[in-house]
This record gives sequence, structure tokens and C-alpha cells, in this order.
Amino acid sequence: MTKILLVGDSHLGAVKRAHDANPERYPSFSFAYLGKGGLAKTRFFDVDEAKGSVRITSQGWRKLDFCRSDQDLPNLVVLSLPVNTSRILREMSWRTHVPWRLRQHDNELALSDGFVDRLIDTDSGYAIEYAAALTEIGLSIAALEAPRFFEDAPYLKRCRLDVIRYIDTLYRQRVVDRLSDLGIGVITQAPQTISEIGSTKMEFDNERPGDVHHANLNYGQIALQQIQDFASQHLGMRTSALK
Amino acid sequence: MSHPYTSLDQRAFWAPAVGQRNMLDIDELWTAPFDINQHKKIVTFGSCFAQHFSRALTDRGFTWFDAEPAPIGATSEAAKDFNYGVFSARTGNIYTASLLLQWTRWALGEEDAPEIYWENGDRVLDPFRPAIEPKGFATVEEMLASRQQSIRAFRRAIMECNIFVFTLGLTESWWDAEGGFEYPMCPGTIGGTFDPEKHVFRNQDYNFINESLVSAIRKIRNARKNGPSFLLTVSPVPLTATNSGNHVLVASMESKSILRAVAGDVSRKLARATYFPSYEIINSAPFRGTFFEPNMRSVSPHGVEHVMKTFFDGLPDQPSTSSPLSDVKTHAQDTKILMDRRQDDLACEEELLAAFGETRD
Repeated sequence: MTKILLVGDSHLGAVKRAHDANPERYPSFSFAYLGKGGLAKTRFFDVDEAKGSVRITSQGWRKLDFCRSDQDLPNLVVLSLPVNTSRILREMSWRTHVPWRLRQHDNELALSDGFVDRLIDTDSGYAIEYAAALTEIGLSIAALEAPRFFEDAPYLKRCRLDVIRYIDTLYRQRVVDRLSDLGIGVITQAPQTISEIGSTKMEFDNERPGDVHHANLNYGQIALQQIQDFASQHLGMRTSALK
Repeated sequence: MSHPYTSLDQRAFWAPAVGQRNMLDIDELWTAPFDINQHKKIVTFGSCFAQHFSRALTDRGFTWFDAEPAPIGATSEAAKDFNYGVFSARTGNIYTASLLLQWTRWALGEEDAPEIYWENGDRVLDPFRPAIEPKGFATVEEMLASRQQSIRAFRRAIMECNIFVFTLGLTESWWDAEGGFEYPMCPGTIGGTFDPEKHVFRNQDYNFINESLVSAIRKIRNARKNGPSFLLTVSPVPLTATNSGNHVLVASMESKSILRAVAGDVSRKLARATYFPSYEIINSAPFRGTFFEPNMRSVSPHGVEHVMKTFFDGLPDQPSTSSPLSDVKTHAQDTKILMDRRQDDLACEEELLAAFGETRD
């Protein structure tokens, strides 16, 4: 039986809840939650090249090991981790610093393109390396894009929307390009969930009022179907290639 | 018989102050002539040795003012690679007094920085800060925007500081014959193309350096009411190379001697200016070159530590390690970012609980 394993951060929650609501429809799916995405800024895994294994080492994360010699490796691992702009939007001071093209006010410090790229690479580097390490041991990997910011994200109260949009778009494109270079496909956020201003539509905001960060069950259902479609196409292509 | 030397204290005599002491016990080399404390906003510019001052001041809880900081959340490695936090603005090294004057004129709007650039493959370098970005800039427009940013930050440093620390580094300099401006480095070394018709070498003499330094200090002070006090130092780091025709060792000694003499003269001539002897601590004979790395050029961390210890020992009030006047705005923003992160962390835990029925710290 085909096995599809969904691995990653808390943005898997909406997908998992959607799956739990209709498990019969997706019998090949299983989930492995790693931990809060905030920890992906530091190295969270080890690679043993001799054994062909990749092991989660971060203290705050669930232990999950993959080894090339495992008999029951999944046919596809969907990783919700590298394409996630939450950290960089939330934890950088985009009020005081802006990309040089967008500078408008005297109190804004202009950042060069090279420095912004460096911030993105630093933030996403370990997650991309993890995906690359999994492909190195023979796993098929796809990345699941995390939902874009919501309009009620607290940093939008102090930062300009055009700056946040610029960073969000640049980050996603840069990471998708790097994953693409590694042969890793990306399941992008469904267009119908994205608003005109580039945020995730509020109708997909998490059910809990205090949560301004995660998407809801409806979003999870759309993402789950996208994963199913991607897996069918991807695994179908592999099957035909083997014939 | 009474004479002037009979009333001097021990520090005026070689034997008790130096000859009979272990070199690490040589003290009272400098005393602050004006108030330097943790409440004063201090900016640092100059040759590369100046960056040790910023680090030591920050470590001891002094208010080192960074007018062009890296954004909160950037890693220290990224900030360092892009020359954030090295000086109080991303000016790069200001090796000479005349370069300080040039930056001051730009900052005060007396002159516009020439819109020149160097091409390096498909990248663009700033001739006035050739190593400021590890890979240069993508376009001329971006480079000029970045330079203007640093000029604005340098102006802010001038306008807001209480104490301006300047480390003199070189007498040898390279000028543009057509434009009349100075480069921090010889064109063709890090970037650009050397043109013997256009690029002119000038080994600055005592009078030229003295006039440039005094002019820069006066402009900085006159730019506002209650302009800053000045702490002048001379970098103890010898020249990497000389174009003077002399042996590099001879050229280094001559160069540093001139800078030392200028710094001493200016500190005596101008009120609220002092010379701090970092050059002597590293280079004078009693220290036997101990504070140099094996290449006899780079100053070791122990040397830097000893220089800074001498600086802090010369202050009337010994600093505590806590910072009473850290940038309040920065802290406020730090707090907001931290609160956002906590809120999202909590949301992540709740999402996890809802979806997976478990939590992990």
C-alpha cells in the first residue's frame, strides 16, 4: 500500500484535523508532528552518512528517524517546514528596517538585497538542509507551503503592509527556487485561499479567536486535497516511469 | 635644592613607573579629563582598531551608539559579514583624518559624495566602502542608496553623540586627481582599476593631518549646540604595505609617529579632547611586542583586553556591567517581538493539542 507521511510544524494541524474528519478518504496518509516551527532557526537534525540516516536532535521536537535501510519507508514525505515566513515576519524589525527599494520615511533604515537574502537564507537554511538530507537517503520529498500571514497578525499593526508582502513573497520564491534546485516539489498555497492583498483570507483563519497564525479546518481540507493530487501525480509518474 | 622634578609623583619617573615593574603592572597611563560614563552616548569611527572600543564599551554596559544597526533578529554572523555593529555607522574604515573630514562634509551637506562606482564582474562596489557588502551590490542604484543610508547614519551619530572616539590609522592615502576626493583604499586593490594618471598617492604630512583633524572636529562640534567631546587614539597596527618607497617597518614607524604627534597636539590644543595611548600600550618597548600575534601586526585579544582595561581604569567611576541607558526603543521593540513570538508559540501548542492530542515543549 502507498504510504504518504506528512511531517513538520504546527501548520500540519489544520491538515491533520481535516484528515481526522474524513480518514477513509485518505487511507494512505499518516502524520508525524515534529514541533514548533520557531525551532527550525537552529540546527535540529543530524545526518549519519555511513548509516544513511537522518535523525531529529532538537530538544523541543519529537524524535523522528529515517534510515535508508528501513523496510517501511514512506513513498512520499510531505514536509511542512521550509516554506514558512512566520519567523522572519514576526521576529525581524520590519518597522525600523526595510528593503532599500521600499524606503519611504526618514526613520527607516535601508537594507541591501544581499542582506535581505542572507536573512532569508539564515532563517530557512536548516529546514532546506533537512529536506535535502532526506532526499539524499532516497526519500521522495515534497514541501507543503505554510499559509500566508493573516490580516490580524500583530506585526501588521507596526509594519507597512507593502514591506511585509515584499518579504513574504521574496522569501517564498527564494525558498521554492532552492528546493526546486534540489529536485523537491512544492505544494503551494491554494489560490482561492489568498486575498487580494496577499494575505490568507480571513475566512480560513483558525477557529480559536486568539490564534492569528494558523489556518482552519476548511483550509486543511483544501490543502489535504492538494497533497492527494500532488501524490497521485507524483507517484503515478514514478509508476509509469518504472514500467 | 628644589627643582620642578622634586614635586612630581612616581608616574613621572621611568624607574618606579616602568623599569621596576612587571609590564602588566604599569598603570596610570591615562586619566579621563572629562566625564565618560555609562550615561554618555559614545560613537566610534576610524581605523580597524576602533572596533575594539565599541565591543568593550558594549560589554561594560556603556551606551555605545549605533546609528545604523542590523535589524533585530539578524544573527550576529550575518550582521558581522555585512559590517553592522563594527563602527557607529557602516562607513567602513576611516583611515585618515582627511577621510573623516570628507565624511563630515558629506554628512553636513557641505558636499555631495561623488556618484562613482566600481564594477566587479556583474556586481557593483562602493569605492568609499569597497568591502562593506561581502558580494557587493546588484546595481549602482542600490549601492548609492546604501551609501546615502550610511551618510545619514553618520550624520545622526554626529548630531546625537556626547563622545566621539576616533582612531587614526594611516598617513598614506589615495586621491582622485579629477574629483579631488580621497579613496579609503588604493583603486585596483579590492576593486576598481588603477589609473596612474587619475589616482594620486599622497603621504600626508603633519600639518595636513593636523589641519584636517581640527577642521573635522570643529565642523562636528559646530553642527549643533553642545557638540561632542573627542577621544583620539592611534591604531597600533602597522601598515600592511607602503607606497612611500621606504621599508614597510620604517614607513610604519614614521606614519604612526606623525599620527601620534598630531593626536597629542590636537588634544592639547582643543578643549574637551583627549589622547588615549592605545598605541603606546601595544607598541612601546616595555611591552616587548607581547600583545602582537606571531605576524607582529595583528593585536591579540589579550592586547585588546589590556588596552581596554587601561581605558576603564582611567575613568573616575568604575563601570558596572549593567546598562542603565540601553536603547529604550530597541528594548520596547524587542519586547513586542518577544510577545508576538510567545503568542504564536502558545497558538502552536494549542494547535498541536487540537490536532494531535499532545504537546511538546
